[in-house]
Amino acid sequence: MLTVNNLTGGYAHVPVLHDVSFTVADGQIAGLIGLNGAGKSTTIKHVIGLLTPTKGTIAINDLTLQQDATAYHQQIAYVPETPVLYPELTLKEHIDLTISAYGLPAKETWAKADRLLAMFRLDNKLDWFPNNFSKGMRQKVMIVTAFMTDAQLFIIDEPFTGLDPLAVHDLLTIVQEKKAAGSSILMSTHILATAQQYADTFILLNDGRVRTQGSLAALKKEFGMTDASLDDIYMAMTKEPSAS
Amino acid sequence: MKELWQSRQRHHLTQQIKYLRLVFNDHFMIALIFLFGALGVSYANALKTVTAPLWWGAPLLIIGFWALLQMGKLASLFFAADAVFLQPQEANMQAYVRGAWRYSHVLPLIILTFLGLLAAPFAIQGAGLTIIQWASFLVALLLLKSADLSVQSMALFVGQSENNTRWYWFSQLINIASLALTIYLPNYVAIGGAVLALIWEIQANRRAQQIAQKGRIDWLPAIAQEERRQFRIYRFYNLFTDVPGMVASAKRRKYLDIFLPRQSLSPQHTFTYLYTRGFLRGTEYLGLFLRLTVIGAVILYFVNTWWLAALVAALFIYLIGFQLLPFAGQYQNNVMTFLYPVTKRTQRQAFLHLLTILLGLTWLVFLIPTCWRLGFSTLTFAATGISLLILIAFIVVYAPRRIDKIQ
Repeated sequence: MLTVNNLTGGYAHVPVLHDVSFTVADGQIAGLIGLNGAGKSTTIKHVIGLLTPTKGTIAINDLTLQQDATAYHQQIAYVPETPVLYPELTLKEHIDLTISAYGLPAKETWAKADRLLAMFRLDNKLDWFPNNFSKGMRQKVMIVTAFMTDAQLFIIDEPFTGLDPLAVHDLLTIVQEKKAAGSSILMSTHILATAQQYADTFILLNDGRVRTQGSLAALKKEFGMTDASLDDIYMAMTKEPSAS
Repeated sequence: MKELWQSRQRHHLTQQIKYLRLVFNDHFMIALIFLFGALGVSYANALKTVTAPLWWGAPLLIIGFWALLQMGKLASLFFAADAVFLQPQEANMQAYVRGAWRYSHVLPLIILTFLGLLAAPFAIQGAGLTIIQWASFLVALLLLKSADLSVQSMALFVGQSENNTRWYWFSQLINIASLALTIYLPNYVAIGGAVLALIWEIQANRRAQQIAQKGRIDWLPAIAQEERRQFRIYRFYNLFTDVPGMVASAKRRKYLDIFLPRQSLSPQHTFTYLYTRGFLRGTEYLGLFLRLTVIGAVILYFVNTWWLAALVAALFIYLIGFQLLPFAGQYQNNVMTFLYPVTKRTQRQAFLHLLTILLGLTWLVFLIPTCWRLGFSTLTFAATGISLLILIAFIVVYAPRRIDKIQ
């Protein structure tokens, strides 16, 4: 479970987030929704520890980064918006390195990885360097290395851009498997139709503040739009006068 | 477009100065002074032993300077974004290209003149040339470089690639011919070689301007070429400092896999796994390590004073270690590395481990020429002992502090 409490933060002298609070429960998929510049990526950077909050706390299963950075990071698997791979390592070695870094059992993890590799049609490219991969393939590599772990919190930044429809479908399947296994999933996205269909709860960010959080039903009630889709609610939010 | 070129050139120069200040830092200057001093003394000594002109002197000069002519590429300073933003201006680029052509002269002409003057004692004493011959040689050399840049500038335009291959090979022919003429023709007649170079320079220059007048820039290859050129420069700067946006490239080098340690996949071996592969397959550090080790060993082969051998070995071990240190931060900007549940301490240990193995190898290689020269004596023992002490001090005292700053 991810708990973000009164988080205020941003870059050195540019505060981006103001008093952000939300939770993602075990076995829950949370959609982080907002315009460009609303603070989605900044929120994620705080959760993974790249940025340090000026106020507030972030805890995964009651453990904060300050208490034990290694144990904190052990609980996270992250798929960044832009894939980052090592130019000197083959696909197979990326998987070995991840196994090594997280201290995973090699045999069991390879079994999981093999299944994911086959799913994303990467199983015949184990000896390739990242240079030879297209952007979509690189993203799939990131997904494989993240989802073969037993993380408690999966953070996926804009997962659907650049993936082919088949891969989007497969990704949603494995996300739901992790959900069923009890992990928390935090997913930022602009693809509202997909988010509406798969996420259990939504965190609507506007100008660095949480406009509202809840299930689609709760959002409909909050905005007084009974028949609305997530898309309609989002449009309504963008038309509201800015809070700051 | 002229203004665009001027603002780019200004920006480019400030960038270069910023990096050059970091490259020519104190350590590097000291090493360079030593190196140039040692080379200068041995050059002077070697010249003294020459009494009659050497038969290989003239061919060596021709081939050597012909090879030097190949260096110095046209700096177009194009950016990837130009393909989009300058597209509407593609037919009006003459002034820009002319500026690039002019600017690209500066460095090659300075370096060629410097090397030409440096080689003068050898040319006159070693190869037995007259001053007129060597002066003609140098004048021809500079004109040929200018012509070469004209030929390079033609290749920037659409539809010139095939034409340009012909011009390129023809220019290589002229290069060899005029350099050879200045050397093999007798005294004053040798000026003929420089005249040939002058005619060629005028011809290539005129042709380049004609093409620039009517031509459209062939953006994608031109940009790709400029990126390759800048990559080579920044790769060099990157040895001394962090160049932002420097993407490391890699070669598979499967035959080097035998040197990879066979370790269990566990958190404490994570960074050893990463560093060893990065070192063996990356395009920067392996080459640097091998080059400096070989150069050090060759220099040691010529040293027959024990304390000088100790000094050279220690200096090279320090230099190699110093140049390898930035590799500790190679993966620092990678968010995945940041997320690994592995402590900084473990990461530092992994790098120091690699550094110990590499410098130890260098030390072992240095043993061979030292023993060869000094025999198995107390002096050899002292010389190698001193360099070993420096090695240990570097790894135990100096490197950990520097790595903490880098990581």
